[in-house]
Amino acid sequence: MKIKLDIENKIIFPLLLLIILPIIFFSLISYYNSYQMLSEKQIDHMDNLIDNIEIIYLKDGKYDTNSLSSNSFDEAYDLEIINSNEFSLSEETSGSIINDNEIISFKKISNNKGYIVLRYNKENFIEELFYFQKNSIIIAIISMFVSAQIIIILIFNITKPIKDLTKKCKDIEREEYNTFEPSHRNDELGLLSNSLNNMMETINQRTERIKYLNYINEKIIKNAPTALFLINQYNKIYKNNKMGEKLVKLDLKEENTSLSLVDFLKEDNKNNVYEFNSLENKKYFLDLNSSEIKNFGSIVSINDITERREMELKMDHMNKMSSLGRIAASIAHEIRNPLTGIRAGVQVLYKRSEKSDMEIYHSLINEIDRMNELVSEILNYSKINKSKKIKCDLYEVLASSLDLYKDSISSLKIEYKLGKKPKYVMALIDPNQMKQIFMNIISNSLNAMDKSKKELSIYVYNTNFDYNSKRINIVIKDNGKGIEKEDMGKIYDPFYTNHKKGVGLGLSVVKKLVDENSGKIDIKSEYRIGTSVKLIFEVI
Amino acid sequence: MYKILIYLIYFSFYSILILILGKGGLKQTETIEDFFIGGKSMKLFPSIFTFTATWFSIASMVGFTGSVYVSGYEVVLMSVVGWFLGAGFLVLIVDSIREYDLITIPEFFYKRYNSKGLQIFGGITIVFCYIMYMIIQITGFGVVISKLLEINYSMAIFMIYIFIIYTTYGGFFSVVKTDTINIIITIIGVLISAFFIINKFNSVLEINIFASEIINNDNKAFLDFEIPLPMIISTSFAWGLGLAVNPQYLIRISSTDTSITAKKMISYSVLILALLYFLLSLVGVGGRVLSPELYNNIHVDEVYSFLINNTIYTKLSGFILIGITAAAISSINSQLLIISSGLMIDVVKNIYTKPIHQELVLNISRFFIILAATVSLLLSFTPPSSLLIYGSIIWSIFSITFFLPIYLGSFWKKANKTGVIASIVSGLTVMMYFLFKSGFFDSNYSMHPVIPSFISALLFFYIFTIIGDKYENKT
Repeated sequence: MKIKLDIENKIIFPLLLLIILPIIFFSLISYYNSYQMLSEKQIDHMDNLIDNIEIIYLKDGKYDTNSLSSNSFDEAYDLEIINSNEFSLSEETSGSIINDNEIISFKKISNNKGYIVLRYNKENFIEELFYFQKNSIIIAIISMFVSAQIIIILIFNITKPIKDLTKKCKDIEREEYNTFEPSHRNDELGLLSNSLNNMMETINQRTERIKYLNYINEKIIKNAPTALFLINQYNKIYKNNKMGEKLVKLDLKEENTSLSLVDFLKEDNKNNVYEFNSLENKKYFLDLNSSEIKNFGSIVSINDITERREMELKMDHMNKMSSLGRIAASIAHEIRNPLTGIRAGVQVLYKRSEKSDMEIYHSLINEIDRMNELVSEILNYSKINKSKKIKCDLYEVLASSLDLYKDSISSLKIEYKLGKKPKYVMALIDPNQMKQIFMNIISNSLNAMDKSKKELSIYVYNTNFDYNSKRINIVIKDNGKGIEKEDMGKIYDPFYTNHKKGVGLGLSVVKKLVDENSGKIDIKSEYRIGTSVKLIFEVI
Repeated sequence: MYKILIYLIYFSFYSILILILGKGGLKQTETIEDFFIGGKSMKLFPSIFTFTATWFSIASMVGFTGSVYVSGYEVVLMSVVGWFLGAGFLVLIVDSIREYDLITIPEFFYKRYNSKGLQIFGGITIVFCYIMYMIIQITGFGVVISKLLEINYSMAIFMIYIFIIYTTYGGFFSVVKTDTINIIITIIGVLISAFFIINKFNSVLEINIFASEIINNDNKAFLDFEIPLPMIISTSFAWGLGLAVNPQYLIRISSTDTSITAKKMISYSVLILALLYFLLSLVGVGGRVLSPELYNNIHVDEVYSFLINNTIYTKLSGFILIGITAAAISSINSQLLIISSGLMIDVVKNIYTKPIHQELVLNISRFFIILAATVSLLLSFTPPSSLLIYGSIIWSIFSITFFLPIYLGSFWKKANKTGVIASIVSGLTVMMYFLFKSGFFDSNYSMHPVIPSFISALLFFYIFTIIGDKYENKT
């Protein structure tokens, strides 16, 4: 197990050793010196004692054992006489010896027959030494304790600011930017701490600024009209904005590769316009622009140019139609005069003809008349005048147009319904042109009725255009034969018709007149089910 | 000789333990609140340990045992009953103390009565009383340790001086950490001393049978109630009231994490303390039976040390020695911390109103700790005669100055500043009169001076609160 010491302990432990070891060392030296001193003192004392011992010899030359009784010494001492041949401690006549347990003093007695030996038990001596040293030991313990305390408190005070700084740095590392209480120390640690505080304040300010800019950028990107996709180095979509999300939700597939939009973005595609199809088979034209981001991946911006494309196609188409109309009008003009001459000639021939040829001439005149009528219509179409807009009640115009068809409606046994008049009905329009619009649409509806139960419903309602303007919506819905899906794109083309007797200029005129009156037309039709025509105008 | 050596070995180990634990507390202190009340984050167990350790002082361990040895069980009535009564009061005040969110108890005067003057007065009272009370602890320690280690009394009291400064220097966290180990050692010490006393007899009952046969010098039985009943009740009352408003306990209520913890802390601590006092009573009475000769020969505060060093001496007696040391240290460091908070927060901060940064406040508070310890040490060179009686006088001052303002302030809406000032002035005046009359800090009175002082303070509180109510409403 590895023991981790913090800076405080790394300083405390060696310092403690530095203080405690000398105290122990000096205590031991002091103890040893005292020991030596007391030993010497004891030896002197014992030498003195042994010198003063008198041996009383008895008549038989033996000594009186009572004279050696320990009464004259305390229990610590042991006195005896040993025969010279048994004495092995020393060869000298007198002296002292210290061994592990005792101090021994000896002296040869005068008759040379033996030695007086005085023994002293060291246990008593150590007890005396302890008493002698007791205060020193207590002072040593107190000194060690006080030293240790001072070291601990001192090192704590020195290392605390370092630890505080470390904590601050850890907080910065964890991005917990806080303002700390400034240090009141005047030393280097105080300066360092205050510098760190200032640095953190600057970091905090800048972080706040960056956060704000980030917020602004995110807002801009999020609400940008262009779809944006960030693709990281692992070729995964890292982020996208609202518009991007909208496109992804459409579940688009690229026309050529059939890849989904997300997968297509991951491919290394060139900056170009690509065609995508939605699940409902609606075409989308997307303009892709990709640019590399160093060390990250790339950013792809997508502009949905479907509307623009459609407009371009429409404009093309309209230009063509316009040219065609002009050509048709000039041809019609050129045809009309000769036709008048031809009709006059055929009429003369009709009057001179025999009865058997009269029918031929009659049908010739009819055909010439039909041609004339067609020519007139073409000429009328090309001559649609500029609208004369006035403020008028659109609902009233609609109702009066409908009145003209009341007889036809009842003769055809059509169930018709006209919705309630809405609140806002006044619009800036040309009432005559509007009448023409309604009549054309209603006429188309009546012509399309092929079912036994015929229904015609007209609803008028208001919607909000924006915050302070409103619209009037007029929906004319029938349950006629409807228009086939593939023909829907051609309904506004002149001369397109699916009615045997029609010229194919009705809806073309309607579209032109609606545009002239700043309105919108939206036709929805389901084959064999019916058609719904929605007209939208701004109310005033 | 070996006794002293063994004591010194125990003492050295204890010193190392305190060094390590005190160091841990230093690190936890960050703010003033941490320093004085442990950031009000104390859980149940540390709270019980610090509460019990603070309560169980050397006056309890040595003074109480010695007094039981001399006077028998009547000492229990005179002191312990009063203390436990005070503990009951403490439970009542828990919610109020916590509601005022106090760092020091005199802050209550400011927060409840909107009086900075009273807060300063409270701070000064705390400083005075605690310095005086610390003398009891230091003296008790000095007497015991000088006997046991056979050293000079001055050297003995210097030994505790270095312990208390160190354990308080780290603030409340240090105090709690060292209190934990101190109370454990103290409990072991008491258990050992009780075990060896009881072991000398066949049963606890036998101790009492032998004790009942002891006749004192005045021919009265040892276990008979000698002290006059008014004295017993009044001394007990003085202790009780003093304990009920003693800042060292109130601040521990404030330091807990919740009110529930505070209430549990008081309840469990009282249970532990009841056991300890029971055991010490047996030690006192048993000691009297075993060593009756001490009765006439040694001072009441030396009885316990004599018993553990002679009558029931074993090699485990070292534990009892450090138990006494632990009891003294754990009470003194709490009191030192409260002196420091009183000086710093209640006095200095109210007089010097300019902002002082936290680091400086902590350093000044630490300086106050050293200063107060030094003053107490110097005063301890001339110790008082009886620890218990002396302590009850000090506690009486708390009873008179803090009890009525805090308790009535918590439960009586009308209580106001005028009533508090009148109550304190009248209570202290009566107390001084009685003390001078019967001898300052002497025990020769038949009724404890706290009784008339308290009655006077209560009357003045009521009368002047009513007067003050009209006056303060007008202004």
